[in-house]
Amino acid sequence: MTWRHGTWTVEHDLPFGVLDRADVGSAVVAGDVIASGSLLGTATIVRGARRVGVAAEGLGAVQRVALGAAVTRGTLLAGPPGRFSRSAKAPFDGRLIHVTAEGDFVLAPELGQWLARATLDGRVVRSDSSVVMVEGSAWCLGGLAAYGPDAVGELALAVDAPIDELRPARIDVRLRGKILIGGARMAAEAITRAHACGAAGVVAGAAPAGGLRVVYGDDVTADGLVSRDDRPTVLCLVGFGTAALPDEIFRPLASFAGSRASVHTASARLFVFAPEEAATAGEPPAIALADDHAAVRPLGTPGELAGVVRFPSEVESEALATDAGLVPLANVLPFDAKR
Amino acid sequence: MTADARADATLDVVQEAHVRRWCYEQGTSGFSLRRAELLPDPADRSVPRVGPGGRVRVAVLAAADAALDGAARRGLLAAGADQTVWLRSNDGRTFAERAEALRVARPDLVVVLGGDPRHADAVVELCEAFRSGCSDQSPVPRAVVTGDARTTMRLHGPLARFGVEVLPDPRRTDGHAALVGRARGFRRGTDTTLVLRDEALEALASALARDAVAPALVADVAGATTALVHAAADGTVVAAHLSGIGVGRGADTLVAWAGLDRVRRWIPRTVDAPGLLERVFNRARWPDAIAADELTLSLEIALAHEALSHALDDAAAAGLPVATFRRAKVIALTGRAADLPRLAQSLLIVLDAIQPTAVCSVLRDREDALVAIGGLQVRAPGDGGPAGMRWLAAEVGARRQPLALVAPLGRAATLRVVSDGVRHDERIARGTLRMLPYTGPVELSARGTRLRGRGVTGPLGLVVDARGWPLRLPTRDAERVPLVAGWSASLGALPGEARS
Repeated sequence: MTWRHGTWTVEHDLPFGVLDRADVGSAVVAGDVIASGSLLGTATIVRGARRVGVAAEGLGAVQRVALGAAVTRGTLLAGPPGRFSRSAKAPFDGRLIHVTAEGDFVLAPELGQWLARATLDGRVVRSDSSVVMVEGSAWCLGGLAAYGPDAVGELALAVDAPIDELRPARIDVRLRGKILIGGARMAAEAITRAHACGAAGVVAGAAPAGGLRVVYGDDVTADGLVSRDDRPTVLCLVGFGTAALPDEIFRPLASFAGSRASVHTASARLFVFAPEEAATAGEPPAIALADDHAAVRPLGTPGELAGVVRFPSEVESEALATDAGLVPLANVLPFDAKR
Repeated sequence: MTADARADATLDVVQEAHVRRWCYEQGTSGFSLRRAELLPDPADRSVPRVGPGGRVRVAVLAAADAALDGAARRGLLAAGADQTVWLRSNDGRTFAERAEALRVARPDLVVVLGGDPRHADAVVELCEAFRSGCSDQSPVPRAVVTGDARTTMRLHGPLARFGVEVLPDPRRTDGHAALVGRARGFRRGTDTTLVLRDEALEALASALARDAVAPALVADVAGATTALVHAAADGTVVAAHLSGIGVGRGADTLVAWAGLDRVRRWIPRTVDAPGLLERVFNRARWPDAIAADELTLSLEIALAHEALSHALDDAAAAGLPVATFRRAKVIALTGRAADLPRLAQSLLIVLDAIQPTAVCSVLRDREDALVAIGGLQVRAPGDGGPAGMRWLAAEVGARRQPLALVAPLGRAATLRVVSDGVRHDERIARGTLRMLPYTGPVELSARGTRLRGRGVTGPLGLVVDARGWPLRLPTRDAERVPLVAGWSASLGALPGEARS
């Protein structure tokens, strides 16, 4: 998806163990905490309704602790107080994380805390234990795949031209907290160096797939990878390997340098919080997959149909005559095409 | 539906972003299946079509019962379901870990394998983790439950929110069919014009087996699905449909599951792994990309090899009779792997990945015609009458033209070939793959081996595979690449070589 200014919604999936979250209608700014919760240890089931002597449906009437509340060892969970009464008590310090359909309590010790942050300036339009959805206005550029946690920071230009590779030598600690704009390629060295220098994220035309494996592990696929742990944030805008950015994409990106921005990895989108008049969105040219499939490039000219051509692989296909030679028609797509 | 009534039958076969339209219509020589000249609109939903259906993420919550586990695995493999998470009551995970795993998986369908009453408490705990993790998920996942009556009654409590449906035990035939039907129903959604590719392949395998009066295997490798469907001559169908792996959209997942080296091993040249990965990732995100150069074509062939190998491994792990698959007398290759420029390339995929162990005819689909025949058969379920059978037999028979007759030999032997009433003795060395230019029907035997058989050769003649099985590839490039290149060269499968 090319640059567009408009109103967008972003879904922030929440991990298990939500304790607190933003209410519907509340205003948030990208980077604000919109939910928090606990990292939980091994859970224990404490008999509730059966212990107290009530039906599971009637447990609510005798329950003394709300779901999600912190408890200490001996806290009365349900039933009347007293040493010899039929009551359910917490066996250790932790949280009440669940009440079963049969009226038992599930308690787990707290091992840590997690936070979820907004990636869009706007208002919360949905909030429940699994997702917080934020709606707001921004410039948006849709990418192909994103990896790592969400990122929020100021955009900083780290290349001179859209065909340049992001070089590690251009990255230092002065770029801490910033989202770096790369060119056609960001290698694993540049990604890890940016992360080590404290950069919030890196955005470029492409990243080498082998490099992504080095950074994110062998299970990584072309669909991206959402994580919450301390890893680099990477947004590939066009492809993998090398992909020079069309001028219509790079020019606004460069002009937004210094603006606040965010990367939402689940939807592989870059949001820039700049006024609508800050840039002019143009229609980018079509993109073509290289014959060896190792790169993607924007087509300089639209090209002309060349009929059915037999390629070196002996595959016969409709072809497009471009400035770089004949390309199978199927290997040319509009920049905005659903992939 | 009779042949006349079928005159208007039109069907689209969808693969990734392209569509091929097939019509059963009257031509100069009577009714037959023809490819429509005009390219159909992919968004046109008025014409029935064969397609992969929607993706259904399935989570399984299983009692610690290996037999039940295997039966469910076979059911889900036959249904083409995407198994995103499989939690067992004895897997040692904590309540929070299970709830988190289920939340991240975002299942559309949860299959609860209740098992015996002794597993009830553990399975209820699994279901409570599911309830805790996914109660706010939208859309709400559905739950299907199997197990003894008392356990399923208990499960209604924690699963009440998810609309519980009780299915028979998947170890039984009716339970297997119910599980497959339920998962396929989800994939089909509300689309009444859709014939799932799995169903079309199963109808095709049955038709091939009936036509050949022998067991048939359909091996399908598409963009993001891979399938193996075996039909016995009596019509019994056993299938493994793997969702998510293939030579296109599923190429990256295949590499993630199987490992890059397992794909790379089939390429008859030295390729560096990082460079190969780049091509796989770009291919996965470029629908219907065409392999224009030799290396990308080699990659596509290698992906097809590994997709089928992986499907066979998965089928074996689920307890399917893989040895029976390999003994099929007719093997049909469909999907992208059947659209390769050279016949030998498709044949090589069958030989290397499936590794037949009996004399068999290998054929390949052209432009999804066989898949369309299967789809048309599924669209007319009541068409098992004489007219329908005649139509099917005529269409399948017309297209059951082998590429080659394959004779697998486990060791060196003298192969006796009787062709046109003349006896020929061919000395076959161990470890070789040879193409013998016989034409027409031949009769084969090899003294000292169990190889006996007869069949009709094709344009690639008689292919004798004396490489032995299982096929073992050296791990070192310096040893493996010349070997794999030699096999390709012996069939004339490498682009740039003269066609055989």
